[in-house]
Amino acid sequence: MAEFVDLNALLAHGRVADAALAWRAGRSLDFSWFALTAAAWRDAFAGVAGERVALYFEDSAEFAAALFGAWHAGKQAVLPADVLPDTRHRLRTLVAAVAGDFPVDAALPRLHAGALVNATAPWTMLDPGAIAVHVFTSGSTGAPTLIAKTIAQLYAETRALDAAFAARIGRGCVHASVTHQHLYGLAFRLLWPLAAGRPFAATRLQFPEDLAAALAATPDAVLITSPAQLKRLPEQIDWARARSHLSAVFSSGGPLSETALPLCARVLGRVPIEIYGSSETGAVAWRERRAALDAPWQPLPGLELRIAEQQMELRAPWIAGSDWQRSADRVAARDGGFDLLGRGDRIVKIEEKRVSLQGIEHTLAASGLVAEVRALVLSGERERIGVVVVPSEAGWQRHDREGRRALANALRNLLVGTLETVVLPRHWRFPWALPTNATGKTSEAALSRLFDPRRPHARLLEHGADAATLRIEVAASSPFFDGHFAGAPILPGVTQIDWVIRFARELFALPAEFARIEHLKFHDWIGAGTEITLTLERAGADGIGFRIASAERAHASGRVRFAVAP
Amino acid sequence: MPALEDEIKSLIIEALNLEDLTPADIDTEAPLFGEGLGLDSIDALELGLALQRRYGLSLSADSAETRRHFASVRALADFVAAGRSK
Repeated sequence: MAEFVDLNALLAHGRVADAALAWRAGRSLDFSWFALTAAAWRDAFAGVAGERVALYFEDSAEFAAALFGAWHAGKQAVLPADVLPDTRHRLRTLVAAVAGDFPVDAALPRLHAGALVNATAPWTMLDPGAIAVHVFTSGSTGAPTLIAKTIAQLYAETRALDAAFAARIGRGCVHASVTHQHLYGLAFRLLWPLAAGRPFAATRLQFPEDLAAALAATPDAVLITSPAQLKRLPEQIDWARARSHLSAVFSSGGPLSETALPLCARVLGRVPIEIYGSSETGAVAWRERRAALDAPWQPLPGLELRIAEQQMELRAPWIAGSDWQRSADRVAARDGGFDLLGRGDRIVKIEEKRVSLQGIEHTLAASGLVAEVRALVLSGERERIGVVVVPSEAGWQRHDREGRRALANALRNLLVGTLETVVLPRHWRFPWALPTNATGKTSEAALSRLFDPRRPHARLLEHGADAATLRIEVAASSPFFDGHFAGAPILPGVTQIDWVIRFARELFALPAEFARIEHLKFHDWIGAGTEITLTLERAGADGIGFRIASAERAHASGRVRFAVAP
Repeated sequence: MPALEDEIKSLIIEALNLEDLTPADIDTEAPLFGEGLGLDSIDALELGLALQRRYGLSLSADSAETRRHFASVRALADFVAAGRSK
């Protein structure tokens, strides 16, 4: 069994030349390959004038060599999550050079590991206090902020992981569906295996079919993954061989849902060891929900925690500073561990990506197109961010001139540089005002109701004390067309009445109960894709008269009556 | 194969909850991911699941090859027509 070596001593201490370091395309890369490649990278980085360089690699073995090369050349590695234009723009002021899979960019000189010129230079111990990496995370304002980790912090975390889990997992290859460019992937799929002498896979397994094939080929394997992957495991694939080879699964980035847990157990033959942590703190606690669905989170060895009034404070050799650090999550102590109660601020996690709802609102509010804005999480198969915008005068002009979708696209484009693609909002609502309750508060529930597919998109054209006119989109995707009728969709009359009542209630103070309909006439049918005008007029204290028309025709008219509940 | 292409467009809209889009908005030839329709890595996983459920496709072969078929609706329709088991 390989000896555990702290990262600052890995190259100075060394391992036997043919010790397996990584697997790439079915072939083993050994420790001598790692030392030679790291030396070539060390020489390349030694020629860079600045102290920071950015690394972005698809291949984890090459990345590991470049990372150690950078450290031994005295450089700090900035690890971007992607190489999109906004990210590269941000890197310009942060780094002197880049290495890896970067597109050609005149402002970011790209280094290559050249032919080895200095192979005989001996490896030295790394300074534990030196800054090793910087990773990006979104802070409370939504703007990406950099978090620095020292060499000592990184190796302290790998020590804690090894102490907690080494006895529970096999000695086979460490596979991963998550990237090493984030702290979770960096620690679990790369640094821990390097320190513990476990071989890791150079290629990331992005798709389940890759996963099944890779696990089937490597016995006693370990999988580093996330809920995004685990809750989408297709059962049609033959997992039998993969299942028999898997010795442990780690999942981090958010809790695995109670519906995904049995799926994971069925497909992979085991539930994951879930890891709780953050970019700021690194891994903090773990749980394995094998027997009990509500198993509390257990702190990792070496982590001290104290909990008072739902606030958790942490201290560990891998957490920055010697003082207690307060966690942003609220918790309750239980059985030597804790339960998570949610965050105290408006940071949410969507598909493991941390998103600041406030940050989204700030960005949009600065656009000039927005009078009021609220961002919220919409539940569903895939959690999504929805945005409710009350447009400003300029926003409504854009809306009316170019269309609702054009306004949504313009606003979405403002967020492109600040959010990762998978969390960009796709659901937008443009009401004339934010919904408020009797005390003038805008509740999350009321905002969510704007996304109910039964509520059509509507633009308020006029609104007086006793009358209002709305323009309504009769979208083909409306659920009311389901089965009514296949091939010839017609908007049901009862839906038209539903919309009259819905908008009458939103626009006028009315008695609580619907009482009856009077003088109802349907003049002509309404097809999918039509734009209709709904005119509402007060008819006494308890009634609203209505007319529905489109550019060509009158469609319906009548009066609805409301009553005080008996 | 225009019927199958339309069916796949509807499947994409439904499976990925792309409100505001109709099959007519999706260009049969345009890229689905990145530029074009702008789908992301989570969508790729969801779409793979939906295709396996609906058509009984097997995606267990070489993934790089398989995912090439996700380039456009046209490519997907060819792939489904060749590999469907239901």
